[in-house]
Amino acid sequence: MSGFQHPDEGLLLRYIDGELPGRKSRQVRRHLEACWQCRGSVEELQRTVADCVRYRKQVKAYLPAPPQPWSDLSRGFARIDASFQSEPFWKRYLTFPVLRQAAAGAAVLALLFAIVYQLQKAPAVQAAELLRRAVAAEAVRPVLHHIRIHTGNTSLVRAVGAGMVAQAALPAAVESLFAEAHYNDQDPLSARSYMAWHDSLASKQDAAVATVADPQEPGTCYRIHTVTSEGEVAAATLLLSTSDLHPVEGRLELRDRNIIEFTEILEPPAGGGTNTAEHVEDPVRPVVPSRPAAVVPGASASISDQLEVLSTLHQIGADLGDPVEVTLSGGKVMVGGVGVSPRIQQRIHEELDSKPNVSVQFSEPQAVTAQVPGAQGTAASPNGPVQMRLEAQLGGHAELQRFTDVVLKSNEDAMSRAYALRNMAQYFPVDVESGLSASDRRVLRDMLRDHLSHLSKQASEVQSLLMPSLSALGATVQARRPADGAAWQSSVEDVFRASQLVEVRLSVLLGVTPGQNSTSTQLPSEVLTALAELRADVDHCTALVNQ
Amino acid sequence: MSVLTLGIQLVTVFRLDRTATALQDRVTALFEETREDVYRYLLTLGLRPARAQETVQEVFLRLYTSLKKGEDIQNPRGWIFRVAHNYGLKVRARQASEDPFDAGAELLLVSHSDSPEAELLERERVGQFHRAVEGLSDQQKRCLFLRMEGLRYPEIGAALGISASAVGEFLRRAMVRLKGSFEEGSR
Repeated sequence: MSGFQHPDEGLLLRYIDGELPGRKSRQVRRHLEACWQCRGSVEELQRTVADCVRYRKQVKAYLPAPPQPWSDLSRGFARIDASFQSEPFWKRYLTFPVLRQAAAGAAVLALLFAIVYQLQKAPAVQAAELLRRAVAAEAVRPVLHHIRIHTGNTSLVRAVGAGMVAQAALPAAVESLFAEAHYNDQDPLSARSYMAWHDSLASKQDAAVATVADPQEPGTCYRIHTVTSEGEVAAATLLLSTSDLHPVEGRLELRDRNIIEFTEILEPPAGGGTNTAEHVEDPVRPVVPSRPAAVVPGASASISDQLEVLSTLHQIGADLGDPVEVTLSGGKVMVGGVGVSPRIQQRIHEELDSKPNVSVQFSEPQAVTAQVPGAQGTAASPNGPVQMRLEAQLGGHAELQRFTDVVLKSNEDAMSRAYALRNMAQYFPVDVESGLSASDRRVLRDMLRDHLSHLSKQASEVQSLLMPSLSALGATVQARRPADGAAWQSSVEDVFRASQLVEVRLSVLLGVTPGQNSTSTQLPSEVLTALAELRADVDHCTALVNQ
Repeated sequence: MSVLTLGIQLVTVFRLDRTATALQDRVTALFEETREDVYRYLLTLGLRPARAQETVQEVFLRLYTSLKKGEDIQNPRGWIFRVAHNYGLKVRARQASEDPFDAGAELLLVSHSDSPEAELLERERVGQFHRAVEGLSDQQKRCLFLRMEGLRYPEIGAALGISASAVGEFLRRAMVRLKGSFEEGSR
């Protein structure tokens, strides 16, 4: 990542203002993680932003107050109302441009017909009005329902609505897509969420509301469709049942061609509440059994309490991606971190605030405040012969870009697992683990197995994505170093290093990061070899964990 | 344009007639919440206080008129600042015979003989920062002030009739010019 060209101040400003598209934002964020120089620039910008805020505050305090007390607007309202009333009927309504066009006599007849039709048969179908009514209907219909969220190769079932308290976090990749879209991921299939997104747009175009067949049940739906040139969502659609205006189906089309669909599920899955992965995402974590502490329980926290906290974080997905730190200090389990997303912070507070001997405290970053979780990869630039060949092999630049997005997304998921594993090895070195009770050790190893199994799956996914194209370029898996390590802790270090190597080589191969060997014809083989080594290390580590 | 669309708009007009009170409540709430910010923004545009206050009232009455006509305003704060900006410039042009209001002088020259030392120092720093702000181009200043009011780049662009990326560029230049101005003021 350090080879990425330094972003200029304009880019950094747009980044901290949250004005960059998701992909670009992710690219900048990753660069900032690696580059102290640019982090310094961001801090300077943030200081200037803070100065502006301070200036505005002071200006407000020092500038003269209005010379007169504010009068209320009722007189003005009355004047405007009167001017509306005094206008002849036809003139009042001709303020509408469309009606002005339809002033011809023949159209009046059609117009009257339409009015009768509207008032008697169809409900108001203007998008904004319809949304407002649907939101009002939602307010009096707070029921638990299940939705399916589908994007790319990920599909999962989620329970939303009243009574749903123990909701698991969405998988990081899905969550970041929603963040990119600036769309509520907690309850995406709702008129409220659609309206919040809709109303946040300065420029948009609502299509005329259409009535379409209900995709799931006999009956019809209103189809609201909004197109915008602003933000990451290019177009969004919401289907509302004509019978009670409840949302049936929604769809977000992102500019990077990702599509997120959410559909109401008429028959909820057995067992209920939290996310249920259908293809590749996290399974619901088993409940951690209560067990005796490894260290005699007392007023101060033990390593067993730390493990319990880690297990809770694992259950809510807070050990992936977000920089949450868990330490044992001053007789307490301290949970904290800088730059943890507000949603995760809230979930952690909900889960841990009531626990004895646990203290949760997060800090806000001084530099980067507008973190937009990255979702997708970076536009590849075919700057070397290998990239050119890969682009030709895939069928063009757009294809290479799409391919890059998919591969880097899968790899990012794998890296978050690798980081989580390394944290576990650091929290529980051999001597600490040996002090755990048998049940604690089971909990720990369950978590490790879960991370390893996901990592293995993700590495295999990346490999199968790459294999056809790279094989066609003549890539082969070269001699691999043998996997070794006698304890899972040291083996996890190998897994972590192998994951990093894969990431670096992939970034160079896809033209995201310039590298010394980016022109090497051996690069495709090196990528495949690194992946094979990673998988071997994961297998070896899994075997050690299972011992 | 379809007959159905015509019908929809007419039905909307009937509805709006019926919901005039709700509209007034909405505009009044926005007025109470935003008027001070808009007033001070207009002062920074150079409007004199009395004119700025009249302009604020006019902006909110325009908002009421637009809503009453059925205009779909999704982001009222953005709309208010856009209209305040454009209308404010017209008012300022009309008050050409008067001296424009100088917010910087106001910051620096208002009597502060009773102020504690810390406040004096802070005021001096603010004055310094203000001079740096005054050194910005008009477009940079407008982008900066609208951004300080919480408008996003596309909203600022809509107010000023420029693209969102141009807003980004103006803001970048402004930030470069303003960097460290508070510290300079304290020296």
